[in-house]
Amino acid sequence: MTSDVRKIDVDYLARVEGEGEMHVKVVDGVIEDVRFGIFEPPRFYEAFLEGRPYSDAPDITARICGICPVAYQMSSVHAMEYAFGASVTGQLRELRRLLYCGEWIESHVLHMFLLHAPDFLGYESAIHMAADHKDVVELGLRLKKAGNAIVTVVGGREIHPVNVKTGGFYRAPTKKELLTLVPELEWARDAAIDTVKLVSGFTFPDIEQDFEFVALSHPHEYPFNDGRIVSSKGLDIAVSEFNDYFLEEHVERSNALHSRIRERGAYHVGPLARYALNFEKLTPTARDVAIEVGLGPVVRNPFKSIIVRGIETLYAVEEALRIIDQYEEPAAPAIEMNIHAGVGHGASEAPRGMLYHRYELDSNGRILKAQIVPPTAQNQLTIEDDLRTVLEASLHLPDDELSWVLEQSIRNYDPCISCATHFLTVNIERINS
Amino acid sequence: MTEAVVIGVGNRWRRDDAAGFEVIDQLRVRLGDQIALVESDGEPTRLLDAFALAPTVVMVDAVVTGADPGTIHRFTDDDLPDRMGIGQSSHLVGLIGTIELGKLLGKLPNGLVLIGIEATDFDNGEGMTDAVIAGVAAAVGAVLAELAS
Repeated sequence: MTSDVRKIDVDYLARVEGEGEMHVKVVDGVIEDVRFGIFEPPRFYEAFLEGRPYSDAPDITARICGICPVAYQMSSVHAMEYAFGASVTGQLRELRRLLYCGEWIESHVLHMFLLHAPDFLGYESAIHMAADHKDVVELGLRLKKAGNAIVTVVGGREIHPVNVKTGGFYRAPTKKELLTLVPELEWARDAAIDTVKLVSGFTFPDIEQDFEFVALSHPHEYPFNDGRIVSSKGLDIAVSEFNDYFLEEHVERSNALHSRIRERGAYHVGPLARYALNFEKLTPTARDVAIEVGLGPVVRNPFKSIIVRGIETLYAVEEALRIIDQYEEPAAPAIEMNIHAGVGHGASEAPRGMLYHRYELDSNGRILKAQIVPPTAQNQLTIEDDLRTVLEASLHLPDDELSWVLEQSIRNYDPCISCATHFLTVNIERINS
Repeated sequence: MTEAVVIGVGNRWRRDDAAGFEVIDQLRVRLGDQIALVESDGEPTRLLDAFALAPTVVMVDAVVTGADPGTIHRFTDDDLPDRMGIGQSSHLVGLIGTIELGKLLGKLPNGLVLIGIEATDFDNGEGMTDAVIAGVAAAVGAVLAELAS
């Protein structure tokens, strides 16, 4: 009897945020092991925050990710405000939503055009794609800039915005400043519709997963930074109950903690989850375009997340236009905090999914303990489930094509492996005895 | 002085990867606003915008080639190494990919010069190694020489 072991290293694939490694073992045509390991630094940040004043949290946590700093800022300020019994309302609350619109547009467009589209169009990278589809790349770059512009005006600067503070902002933008954004956002609305139509024309592997979707849900809004945590299997809890229902576990292969719902298991956060749990709260245009391109109110094919990112981009553009239209300059850029000891919980919808923060504070508002649960760590088990499903359907493919579809599956989650470093290594080990 | 943009790429929270930003800090002291100085975390779309700020583009970053720590390298857009270790190319498309994309999209009509500082420590946290601190001073000189030429 001969034993044939083939192992393939697919090295230096940078189209996920940070560093990842995937290992697949197939023995006699049967999948024996699928592991997706990531390395991420939020744990370092948790330790780093301890002993610092509450007011440092938004600026420090914003550094965890250059792609979604607003999400880290929002979850941290909401957690602090919860601890101090404060509530940001009115135009300040609207400005936070507007800032989040900017981040969703930036992040989703970057992922759709430069990272995920090349997978579907058969290009190794955006660079290879740009040689043949310059117009597509330029559409994406211009659309993304519309998001950058919102973050610059509301957040104070493009990357790692500095204007967010507990209680509101350091400075509220003027109506005139916001109105400068309108013409490009009006262009962006049409561009987002074109984008949805473009990506919905891609070819999608025929896979449906029985996900437990988890997202924030608010009675009147598509969720950014407010609401209860709900799931497609009946969970409906306050953000402060997160640790009662979700569990983070250390797994040897990864220095990211793996999340699961207690007594149930893997769950899915991100665009597909938000969409399935909040479809009715999209704008009428976004709903109509979704239906026009053939999406139902629930999408269970993880590869179609690229279309849902397009729908959410359209929503974010329209929501930004609404907020700017109705904006009135607030009397003060922030509300005062009544500082005291306490525990704060905050959750917001990062582009990649729900991001939970928890802080224990002493009587001076100093951070005693910090907990940060990023969306990619929550999706890790679900990503492994998807990889297993995709593998079962694709084992007949040669190793290079198999690697391609597996990498594409990981990118369905736009995994923010969080600015650690930059590699996704795919190892496929086939053993035939 | 020529019309130029200098782009420092890196991450202040990853030890030696702060080198590109340190060079920008020192250039700001010496040159004020005579030229455009940009800090970048490597995000490709903003880098592409930065390319368009001036006809001469000089980029500075920590690199890993296996040379002695602190060594200064000079690359042009025609002779970029395929892969320069983990210090630069923060995300996604990567630094080299973004430069190629910039050329394809016509955003680098006069090309680009990359000044690399050989680095070793990319761990979480602040503070560069001694060799890279010395390399930063040398890189400032190298950038000034590019701008004068």
